[in-house]
Amino acid sequence: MLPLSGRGRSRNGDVTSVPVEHLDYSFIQSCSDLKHLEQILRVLRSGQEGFYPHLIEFCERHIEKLDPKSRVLRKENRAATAACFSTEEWRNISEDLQMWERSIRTDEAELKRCAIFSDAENVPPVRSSNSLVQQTVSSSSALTAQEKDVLARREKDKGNEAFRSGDYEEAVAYYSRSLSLASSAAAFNNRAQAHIRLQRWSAALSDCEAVLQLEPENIKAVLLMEPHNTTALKLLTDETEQHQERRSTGRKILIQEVDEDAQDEDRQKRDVSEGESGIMGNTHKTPSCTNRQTDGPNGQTDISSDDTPAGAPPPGHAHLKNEENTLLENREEKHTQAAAEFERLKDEGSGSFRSGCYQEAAERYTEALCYIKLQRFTEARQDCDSALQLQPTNKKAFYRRALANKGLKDYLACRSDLQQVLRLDASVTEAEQLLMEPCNACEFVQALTAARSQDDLLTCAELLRSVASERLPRFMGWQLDAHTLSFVTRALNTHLLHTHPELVYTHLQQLHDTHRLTTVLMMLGRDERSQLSQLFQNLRSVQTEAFSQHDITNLANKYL
Amino acid sequence: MSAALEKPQIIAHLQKSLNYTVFESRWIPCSAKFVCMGNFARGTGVMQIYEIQHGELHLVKEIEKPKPIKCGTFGATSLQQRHLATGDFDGNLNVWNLEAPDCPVFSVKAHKEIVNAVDGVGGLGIGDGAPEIVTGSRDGTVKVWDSRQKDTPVVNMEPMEGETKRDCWTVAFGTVKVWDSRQKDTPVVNMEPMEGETKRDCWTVAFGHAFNDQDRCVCAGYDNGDIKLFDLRNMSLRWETNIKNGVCSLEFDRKDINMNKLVATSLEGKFHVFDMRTQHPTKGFASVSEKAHKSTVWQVRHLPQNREVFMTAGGAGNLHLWKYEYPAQRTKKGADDVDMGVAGSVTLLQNVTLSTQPISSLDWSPDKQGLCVCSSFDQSIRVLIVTKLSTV
Repeated sequence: MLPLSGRGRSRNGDVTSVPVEHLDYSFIQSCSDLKHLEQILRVLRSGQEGFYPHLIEFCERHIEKLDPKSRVLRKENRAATAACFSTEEWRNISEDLQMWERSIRTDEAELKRCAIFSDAENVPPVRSSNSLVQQTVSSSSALTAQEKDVLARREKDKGNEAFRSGDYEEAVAYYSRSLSLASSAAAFNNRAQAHIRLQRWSAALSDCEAVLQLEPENIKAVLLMEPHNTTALKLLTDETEQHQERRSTGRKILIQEVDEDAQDEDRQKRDVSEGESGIMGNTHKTPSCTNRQTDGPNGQTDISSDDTPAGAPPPGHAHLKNEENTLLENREEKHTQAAAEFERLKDEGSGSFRSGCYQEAAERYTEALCYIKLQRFTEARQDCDSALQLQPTNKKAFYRRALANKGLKDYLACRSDLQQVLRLDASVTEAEQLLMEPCNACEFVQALTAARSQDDLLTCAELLRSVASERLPRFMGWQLDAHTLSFVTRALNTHLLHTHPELVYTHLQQLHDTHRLTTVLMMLGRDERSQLSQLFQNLRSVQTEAFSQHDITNLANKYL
Repeated sequence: MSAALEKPQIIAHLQKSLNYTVFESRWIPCSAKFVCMGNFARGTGVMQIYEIQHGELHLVKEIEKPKPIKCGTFGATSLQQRHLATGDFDGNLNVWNLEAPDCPVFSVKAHKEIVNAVDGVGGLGIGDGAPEIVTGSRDGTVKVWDSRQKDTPVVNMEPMEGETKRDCWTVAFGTVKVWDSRQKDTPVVNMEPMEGETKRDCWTVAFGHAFNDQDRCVCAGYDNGDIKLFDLRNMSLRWETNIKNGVCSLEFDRKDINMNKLVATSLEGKFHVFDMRTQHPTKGFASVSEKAHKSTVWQVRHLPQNREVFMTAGGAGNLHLWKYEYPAQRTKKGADDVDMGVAGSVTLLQNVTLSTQPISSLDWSPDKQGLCVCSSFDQSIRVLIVTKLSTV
């Protein structure tokens, strides 16, 4: 490998060390050593071995693939001119500049016209000796309104920059300074966001309220309350988990965790909320939604540039509602006070930008949802009624009313509402489930009888699955007879054993406490007994931690 | 390519050829006007005020002065007054009212040699505290002035003859003089070298850390590569370092916040970005350096509307637009369990070649994002528009 040229200055030492064989397409293609490729490129560009433009381009492309930020790829560009842009763009740019010229000229004239304040009194004294940024700008009294605006905007920009680089305390200080000069919705909004990052919920709330007072149509404040609630809910779930002394996993997936945390809700409520999340149809989307919202402050430019709130486009509107609903579902009953505050603001917020009948209806049923969550079922039902008046085909309103009715123990009304839902949209599985789900003994028995009459083991299995073991005695108590018992046994044996052996076991345990079981057991026929013993045999073969062989033997002895 | 079009574009909007050497151009705050300062071939100084009108540059005023003018700033004046503070080849610091430029509002013979650089703080609502002007000169001194104190400097930190106690002064080859235009004859702060020390040319000065009434820092860059950071609150040398090549230009990303970043440009095409939030007792501030321009980097200017974006002007007549990105963690624990800073990274957004001569000065308009004026040694000034800065 001969050096290319005799002269090699130390700076261009690479020129001498690249052999000619390397100036080749196949070599460049196969080479992945960036430094060497850069040397090759330099040699090619220098033209010492001849001028091969295509090879140069090829080498550049290859380097770009390996390292887009490589320094050798920097090209000298000419300044852009009007010709580089489309007519539309250029027109925008030049018009923008002209508008600015005009406005700045008027501003300047305004400035000159103002009396020159002798600001000697207000300037700090000559230097003769607190490293916290002060919360208010001193000596602001003598400034004109225009000057105050300029300064306020500057402080706000400083706050934005501090926010973007993660110094939230500093950002709050700058926003406060901006607000002390001239209050603006944008500064309040941004300060609310900074408070949220610092997890100061009450401060954030008060700032959001201030915004809405200033500008009731402010979409950003409403949007702020979404991430506000997201992160607030995250905090709530954190607290709940701490209460229950559970280790919190890294990335919190709101719905699942909140559902698991709901210990004071009975299981039906949980099912309800699961059902609701199904109906909203965006269970799996929610983490991304919430993440997107929390990423909002960082990504969106409307913090930095626009002071005017952005209008909510219709798809965003629907999306917002979905999110609202999803977030609403995850309310914790424990923190009802906080929840009540959130929902109040949410309602205000949602009320503020909606218009029109549909929106009224939507508002109503969202309120209804709030009420349901807080177990204020009468109000919920009222809201649903009004929603349905406005929009008679709203299946969500029906569903909500069904829930409300269930809460009020008006099961007939509940059923009819659920059937309405199914009529409107047969694919709503949650309504079906709710229908299926027995909420009291009557329903359970009815369902069971119905299933038994059709000899529908599957339905029976479903039914048993959806029922808590503890309730089984109460449900079954009055209707328990040999026939029913054998039916239940068969269902357990065939369907439930494979999927939920633990459930089978607990069911059997609980069932044993049923009032009439002993009597029934005595009246069991031979077939039924063999089925029971088979069930226990199968149970024994199942390996699980919930119960041991010993437990099964005990239980079997009780039954047989 | 759409990817290319989404990058900020630098548009050469207006250009004007002048008949004098222009050293500095500065926007007049709250207006569409800027001032160019330089010297005529006959050896007198000149200030010209241009205004952008209907897509053209119109000469509004021309002011001629006896001495060539090297640098100027609006930093220490109020928004209503908008007085320009200039340093000239003779070592004078003058503050002019551009509406009545015959007589300066404040004038003092600040240095024995040419005033290389001037900076102001406390005016225009930038920075709390007294409005002050700092000048750096070829005589190696840097002084801070306050115009209210006419006779004596606000603080005088001259080292005495024969005393060796102040280590900072033995290494401070240059002195720093801080002027307040209210104090006429003596600087507010004066930090001079010891007798017998070789004086170093101070090429650039910058104010920073001026977020309340008391705190303020002055950073000075010298021709041997020294960068010294003086804390005016404690009147001490807070930090110094040497970047091996003469420091052409220094700027804090914002003057009126807790010091965040400092960019220092130098000869040989390098510039350094220091993260000023965490100072390590021995290692100082963390920095990242970048090589660009293939020649001296004459100026660095941060975008007033976004402190992470800055433009560097090079000796080959080119401009590079950069964006700084913070690292995931700005501090980390060092070996001795003391916090040290972590520097981020700098990415090139756009570059453009405007002329063959160095671009000696650059100034962003504080009122319109993306509008900037630059002047170069080919005796021309250009007004540029940089697009898409809000999405950067």
